[in-house]
Amino acid sequence: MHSKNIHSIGGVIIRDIRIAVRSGGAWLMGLVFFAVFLSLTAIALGGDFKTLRPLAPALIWLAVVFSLLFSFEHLFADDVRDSSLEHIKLSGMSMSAYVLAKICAHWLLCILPLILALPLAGLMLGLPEALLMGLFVSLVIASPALVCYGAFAGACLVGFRAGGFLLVVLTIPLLVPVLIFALGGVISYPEAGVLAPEFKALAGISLIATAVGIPAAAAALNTVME
Amino acid sequence: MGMISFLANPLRFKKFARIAAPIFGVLALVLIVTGIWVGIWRSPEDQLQGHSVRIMYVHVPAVWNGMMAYGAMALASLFAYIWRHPLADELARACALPGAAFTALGLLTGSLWGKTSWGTFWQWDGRMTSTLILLFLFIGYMAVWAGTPDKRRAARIAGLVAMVGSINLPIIKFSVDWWNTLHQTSSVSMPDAPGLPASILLPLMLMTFGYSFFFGWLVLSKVQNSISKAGAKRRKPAAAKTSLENL
Repeated sequence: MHSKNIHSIGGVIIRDIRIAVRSGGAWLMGLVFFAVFLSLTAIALGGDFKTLRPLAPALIWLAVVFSLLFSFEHLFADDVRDSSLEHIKLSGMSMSAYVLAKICAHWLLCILPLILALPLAGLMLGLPEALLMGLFVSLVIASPALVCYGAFAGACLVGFRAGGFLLVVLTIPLLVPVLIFALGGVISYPEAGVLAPEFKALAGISLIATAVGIPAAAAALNTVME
Repeated sequence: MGMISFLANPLRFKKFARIAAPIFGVLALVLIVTGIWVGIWRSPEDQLQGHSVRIMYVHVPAVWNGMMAYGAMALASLFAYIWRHPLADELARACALPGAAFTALGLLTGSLWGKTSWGTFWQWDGRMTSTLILLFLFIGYMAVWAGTPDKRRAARIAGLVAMVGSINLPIIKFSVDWWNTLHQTSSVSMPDAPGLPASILLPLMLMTFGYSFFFGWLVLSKVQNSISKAGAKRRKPAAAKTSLENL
């Protein structure tokens, strides 16, 4: 990769964070959705910790997945609409580098707040403390897969009417293995720790997702720009 | 490879399809009718499952052909992506609906069979779960085609979706199987094809090839149709232009 690309990656990340900060808190809506989703499930399940405790890891993971999925609809669409992507392409930045920068910014803006909110979510659902650390590790390891596949679907659906639902339909099949191994890892974390076989599989899936998702998202964006 | 480049010409493909499609259609009809006849009247009932084993002759070929359709769709998408050939896009697109229909039929008959032999319509069993996810993949692919007005862009993005899905299919299959062994203490496995006696294998194979030819007939007719449509669209402005020149 040219040093110019590395420089522009930093530029795009800083720009995205600046836009988010100036958006009047819109970037935190994912976090609010996360809290609302968990509250609603707790209410729907009767609010008894005896029922909630065994379900807590799965419910928290579902809340993470859905709050993230809805955030990808605008990941590239805004840049295409105000034609800043056109300028970025004209500047000679490679599309993959641009996607990488967007993904890094998205990780900082959307996944990091969720990771930091995990202890609170655990408190809401009575998650055993031994599993909280496992949940934390699983989310960190799975996060590249989550952002890469989300970004791929977001890039495919630029300019789509009602793309939000389709984004969920496109990404859910890809996220099935992530969900399975992440929750398996959470369960076996107290005995096996970070080196649980489930976490190793999860790390492998994240690597594949990075290798597949970034070029595929770049290819989809190139098609959109044609 | 030679075959592919020979058929890459739309007119040649149309000629090929005009001959091959009816042959496939007739073969499908003959094989499926014989398969049903042998399956219902000329094959023994299972020792444990009784007559309900005959659901297998509809069910297993449907699932196999559904998976094959996804494979064909991903492969055609790959060709379309590398060589940017519109014919391959049409092929990939034509695979989606029959593939989804086969997969849905497989799920439906699977649940009927499950009710008679396991006593439940649905079980989160490895095969059923991964077949369901395959159906979701087909639906996503078709939704991309349906929702993008620009056809060239729709073809390219749907192709990407199919290819990324096909890379993930083995991972999904593996993870679901692993998850299934983790959660289920005992699962009744369906009979595997290699261990089956010839009397059961014969109708199964007849039906499988019947389904495949039916799939081939559907795909060829659909592509033939879209070539004709594209040709008609291209001819119209040309005709107008010549009439203008004549003036």
